[in-house]
Amino acid sequence: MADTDLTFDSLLDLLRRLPPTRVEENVNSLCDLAPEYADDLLGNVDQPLKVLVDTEKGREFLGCDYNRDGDSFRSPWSNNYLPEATGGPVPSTRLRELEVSLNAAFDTYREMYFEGGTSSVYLWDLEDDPGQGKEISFAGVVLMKKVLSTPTSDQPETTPSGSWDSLHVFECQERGRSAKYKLTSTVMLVLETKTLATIEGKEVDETSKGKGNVTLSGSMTRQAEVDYPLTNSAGHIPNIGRMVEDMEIKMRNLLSSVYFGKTKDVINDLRSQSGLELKSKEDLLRAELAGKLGARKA
Amino acid sequence: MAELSLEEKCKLAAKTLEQSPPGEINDVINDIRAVINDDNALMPYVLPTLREYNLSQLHVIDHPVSDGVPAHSSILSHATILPGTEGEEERFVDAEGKRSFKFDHITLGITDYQPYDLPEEEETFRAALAQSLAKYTKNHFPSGQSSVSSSQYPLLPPASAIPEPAPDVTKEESESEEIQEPVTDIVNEQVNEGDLEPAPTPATGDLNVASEKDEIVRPESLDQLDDLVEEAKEEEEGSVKKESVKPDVEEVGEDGQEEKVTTPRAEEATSSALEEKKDIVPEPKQERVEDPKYTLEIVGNKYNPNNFWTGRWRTRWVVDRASGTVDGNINVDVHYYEQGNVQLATRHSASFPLPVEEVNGQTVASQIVTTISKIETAYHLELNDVYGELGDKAFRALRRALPVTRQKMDWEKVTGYSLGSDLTKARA
Repeated sequence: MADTDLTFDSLLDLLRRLPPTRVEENVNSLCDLAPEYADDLLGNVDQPLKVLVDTEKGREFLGCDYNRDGDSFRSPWSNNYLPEATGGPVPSTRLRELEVSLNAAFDTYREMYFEGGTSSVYLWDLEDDPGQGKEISFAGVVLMKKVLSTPTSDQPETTPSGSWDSLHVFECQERGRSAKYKLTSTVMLVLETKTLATIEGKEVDETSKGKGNVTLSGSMTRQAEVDYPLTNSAGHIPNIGRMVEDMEIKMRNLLSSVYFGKTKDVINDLRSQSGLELKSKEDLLRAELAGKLGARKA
Repeated sequence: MAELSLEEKCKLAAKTLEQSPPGEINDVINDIRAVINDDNALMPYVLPTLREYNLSQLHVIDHPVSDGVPAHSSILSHATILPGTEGEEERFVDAEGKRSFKFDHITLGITDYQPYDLPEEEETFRAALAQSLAKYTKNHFPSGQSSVSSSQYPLLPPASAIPEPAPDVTKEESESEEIQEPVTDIVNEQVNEGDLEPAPTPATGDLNVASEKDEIVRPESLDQLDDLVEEAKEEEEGSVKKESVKPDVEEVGEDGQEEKVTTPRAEEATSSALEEKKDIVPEPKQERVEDPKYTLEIVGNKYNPNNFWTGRWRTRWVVDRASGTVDGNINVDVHYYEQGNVQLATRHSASFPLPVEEVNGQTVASQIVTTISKIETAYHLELNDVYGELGDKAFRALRRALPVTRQKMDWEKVTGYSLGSDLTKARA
């Protein structure tokens, strides 16, 4: 057993190291390398959310491993598996009611924070005979996705593009007049832009030209546990709402510090922009001249 | 879906190696080995991928003191492959130490140092570039290593090494050379990639500092693979890519156009004895490239696994006299992996016209490096600006920090207006 655990740890470690931009391709490769762990991998590794269309309801919804059955995904709007009905699992009546309400609430949340994009909420029962007891336990996932498309021809070449995918997976246990929520949140963020590095200084020939691109991509995961009061089943909506909102705010700050702070610091550790010999321009010039004289002698 | 054969799995696994972040190749190899669990089957596939990785990532080699050559470092790259060698015979040039050597991509060991001498003209220009580039590197890259290589064929070894009577030309150059004893077996000093790096610097971010120990240390288990290396090498033969940086080669004697071939286009022509070559000699002959390219490379690495980050800045500029340009590529890769996996990958290419003559006492070589320095600094500044652009505009466009109201959601209200009678009742 120890060996097999080590293999799985190695698979996860690989995915922690390989480029996030290629996570789908790499998960597929690793599933081929270790088919016995394919299900565990798919269940443990977050991949970009799929945007699907519920044609009957005329709305987009999001697909992930939690609403997947084979090649079909359950729509939160119609409760049907699409594109092919598979007879896959659906939540109990009571939970489906809550799911409908949560989808409506997070649709508002999405509009307020994302001003676009797509959201979906899926719930599933954690009990064998759901709906029988007074206190229920269930699990769910709140999904958010927004994509900034690549610049069109009338936009500047260096207009950035990117995408945000967040997954908030939670378990809820009702306990008398309160409920305990365990949350695991992952945000996948990709930002891309082009670089030109044109030099405007007159010393450099005007024909100097450059082009390139910058990609910042990745995912971060955080966990939280909260206890909230619960007076009736509708109380789950503000509870889950606040929990997810607080976590997304926290993670947005975290992503900001890692993406725009940490990686920038590393670049400036790798290369000193102003030069390590912090001298006046005249000193640098003198040193350069000396270097040239030396070079000529050699 | 049918399960892949072991061979197919090994191929697939080796492919993931190419994607390894800076300084984490050993971690990735060990993960792959744990997954495949059959080193004998895996290693033949890993070797060519490792070679490609070492070359494209500008692996830094530390040369210990030997035969009067002081300790120094050189870079492994496509440009430092000894012209005319490939496959099992592939050798790399240590231009500063004026030697070539064989390299084992698995153990990272150096063997069989041999003398390496460029014709004087090429060496003069190369050394001038190398000196300027080293100066620039020292000033801007705290842990940088630079290298300048010429694609010109080195001079043939002195007469004693050649069975046929040597052409006169080599004698003139031979004053500097005695045949060196090959240096072997420094493998054990070279296996720890982490040793090449300066002491880890503390992360400057405000995130939690983890206490995990250095992860980069090459596990000693890899050493046990040494005996696999030989057979792995055999596998490698034939799968080695043609090096792409080698310019067109015109071989003297085959086209009978000696004058053309041996007349250097460049301005610093020194009369070379090579022009005297007359006969078609079947045995080793001095090969020449007409307009050799000069490749300037810099690599700066910083690995800080204790704080879960690594980074690498790579620079490669090719001086091409034939086209009169200097073309460059800059790549920056950063990996941050504390409770996540965030990577910065940048690719940038640029080019500028090759300076043709000394200007105000500044040599061509120095002008080239000055322009490189300006472009890289402009790029560095642009990267810092890009962060502003991405952070302020793109990130905000994806998700606001707070709604327009500047207040968090009122969840009670949301449930109020969007939900059915059941919930409305609940609020009452």
